[in-house]
Amino acid sequence: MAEHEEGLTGTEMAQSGRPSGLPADKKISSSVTRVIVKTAGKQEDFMIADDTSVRQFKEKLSTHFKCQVDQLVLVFMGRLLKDHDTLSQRGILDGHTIHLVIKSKRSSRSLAHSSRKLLTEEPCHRDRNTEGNSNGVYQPAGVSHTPVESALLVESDAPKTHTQDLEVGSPEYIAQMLQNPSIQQLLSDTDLMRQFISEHPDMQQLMQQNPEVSHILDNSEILWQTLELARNLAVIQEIMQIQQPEQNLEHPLSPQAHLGLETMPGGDNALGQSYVDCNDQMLNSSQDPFGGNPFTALLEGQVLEQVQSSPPSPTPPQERRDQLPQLPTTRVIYTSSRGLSSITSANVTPNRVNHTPSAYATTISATCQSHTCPVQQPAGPQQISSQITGNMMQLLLNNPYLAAQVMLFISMPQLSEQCRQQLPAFLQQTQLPDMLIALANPKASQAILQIEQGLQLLATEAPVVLPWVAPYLWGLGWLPAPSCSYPDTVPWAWDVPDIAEPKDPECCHKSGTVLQKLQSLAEDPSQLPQAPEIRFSQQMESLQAMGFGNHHANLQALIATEGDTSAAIRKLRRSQGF
Amino acid sequence: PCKSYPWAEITLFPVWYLLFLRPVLSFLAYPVSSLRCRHTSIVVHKDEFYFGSSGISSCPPGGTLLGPPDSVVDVGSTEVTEELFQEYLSSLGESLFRREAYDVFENNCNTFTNEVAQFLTGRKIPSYITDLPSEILSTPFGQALRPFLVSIQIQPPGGSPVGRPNGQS
Repeated sequence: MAEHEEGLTGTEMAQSGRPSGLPADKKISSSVTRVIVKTAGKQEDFMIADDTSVRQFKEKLSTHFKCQVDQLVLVFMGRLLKDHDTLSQRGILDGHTIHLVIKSKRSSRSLAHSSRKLLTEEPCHRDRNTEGNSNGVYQPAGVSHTPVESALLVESDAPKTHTQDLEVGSPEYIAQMLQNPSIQQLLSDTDLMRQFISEHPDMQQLMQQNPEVSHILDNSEILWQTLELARNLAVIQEIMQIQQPEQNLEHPLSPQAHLGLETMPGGDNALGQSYVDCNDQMLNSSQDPFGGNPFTALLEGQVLEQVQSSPPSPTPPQERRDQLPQLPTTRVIYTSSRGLSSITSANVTPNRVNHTPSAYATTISATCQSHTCPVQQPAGPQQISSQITGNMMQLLLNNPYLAAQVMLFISMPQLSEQCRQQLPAFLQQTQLPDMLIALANPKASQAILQIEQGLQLLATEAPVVLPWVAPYLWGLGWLPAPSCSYPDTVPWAWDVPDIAEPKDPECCHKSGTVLQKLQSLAEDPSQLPQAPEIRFSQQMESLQAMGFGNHHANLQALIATEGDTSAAIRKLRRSQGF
Repeated sequence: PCKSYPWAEITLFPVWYLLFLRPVLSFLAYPVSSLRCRHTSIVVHKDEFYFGSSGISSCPPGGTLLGPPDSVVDVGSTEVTEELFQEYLSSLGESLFRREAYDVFENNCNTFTNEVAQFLTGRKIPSYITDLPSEILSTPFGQALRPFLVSIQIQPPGGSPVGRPNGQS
């Protein structure tokens, strides 16, 4: 036994290079343990001192198994042994089995590489005595980080620095970077992209406001589309520069993730919200020069309501402003408030109807009460814009509900008749469902506007009324019908003459948001509800025949009871004081 | 349900083994056929791993044609990461548990499960499972049929083989 110890300490000295060897008292106090090392289906015994550190043991094993120390991983009782531990600390006693995994060289190399990147330099463990272990250097990541993660971190450093450069640079640089095949390979890794995007601070800010945005990142298709759009980045920026030289947008192009928001199918609430936020910002930005413009005031009034639930913070709207030119709706508003025609008008009408842009633009600028901005029609940007608008039009065509949103913004009372006449034809050409064409009916869109306004008014004037009017919304499918019992109190509200559409405090973000309604339709087209009048026309007739003359009240009752005539009759009788 | 202890920089992954009890082939004599064949596999990192006559395989838990297990037993927790575990399996698959090494008595699925459980947690599988071969062989029928039984190859279908991902070292 003594020989063993001497031999052992001798070996240890030789390996660890300890200058003076173990002090005498050390030799006496340490005890030798026989441990079994199991690896790859075979096992061997090793005699080592209790106070051997894991690192020392690994060094010993590395010579024995003819591999590098980095390749060794020791596992005891399911726990990974860290280099600075001692065997006795881990409870390794005589006869215990330690499992050894010898990693393949390639994975250990990448691990070492990332360890170097991630950690500060690892000091020599040999001088660390096991007593002073706790103040020893901690090398956790070397073992516990998976090389995949560390490789990810390593690689993601590269594109991050790239984009930091790009924030100062030009879109051509972005395009060049995208050409780089290694970058393309990175970009095609959706996990990496998701991580990359979500770690960007702007993105995180955006996600704080719109939690739905985080769902975007789970869709690799969206990421891909984002990248596609990024390839057009250069073109887009050219347009922006041409269009808004006077607007002093000095902040750089936002990261690609934001662009992806627009390419996303319009079925997401977040998109609608960002539309709205963009509109708001646009209006705010254009408000000052056109303070007294009733048109913009009206627009602003409408848009602001929709923004109530999520007040925009400075940074994301700024970035969204970068893409404002790409949003058809905001371009419309921008046009109308500023009188610039060229690109924006082209966004609204189809490309094939080429004669309309100028007409549309002039009409809008005519109706616009503001003044002196000249109507610019440079030919160059229009050609460039036709590329972009081609994509936009494709998007609109592919997503009719998106087109409906566009349309609703457009179909303001203040706009001229001409554009509204054009729109139904456009819609019919694209074979959109009848509902959307009905929406192009000026009276219908006016009605919807009034509904929205009424809701807003009710929200501010008498919010207490809103819950009672909730069944009306239920019938339309705007609200999920709660299981609580309102029915008894509801009939009161029906006698209110100017019944606006109800709004429940829970869903105030849905108030007046026909857009969002349409978005939800886009998600599930089968939910498309017809107008209550159409749905319940038969019941309406029967109610009329029975003598319930109040058309309005009949409709309310039918909506609340989902077309159940007898239940509606009961409600009506109650409300009319029978 | 991995537990992580950031202050100690430890993440623990739970480990289970799945136990499948299936009747032994019916043509065996009665005393032997009353035994239930016990097949086990180990589940860690949301995957099921087992050893059969075509080597180590993996599948989603309960994903073999055997269907859902008869019992799921908690073995413990391990710090071994998925990547390290793959390395370990690869090394096993080239040595102790390569496909040719399958022996229905000496080196079968339960041997594998036992081995891996010890690696991952330091604990063993209950002995009534791993003692099945000796149980069979202790009966005269078992002894008599041994030469025939030895060549039995059991491979639950539904999994995919586990190999070394990064190429040779």
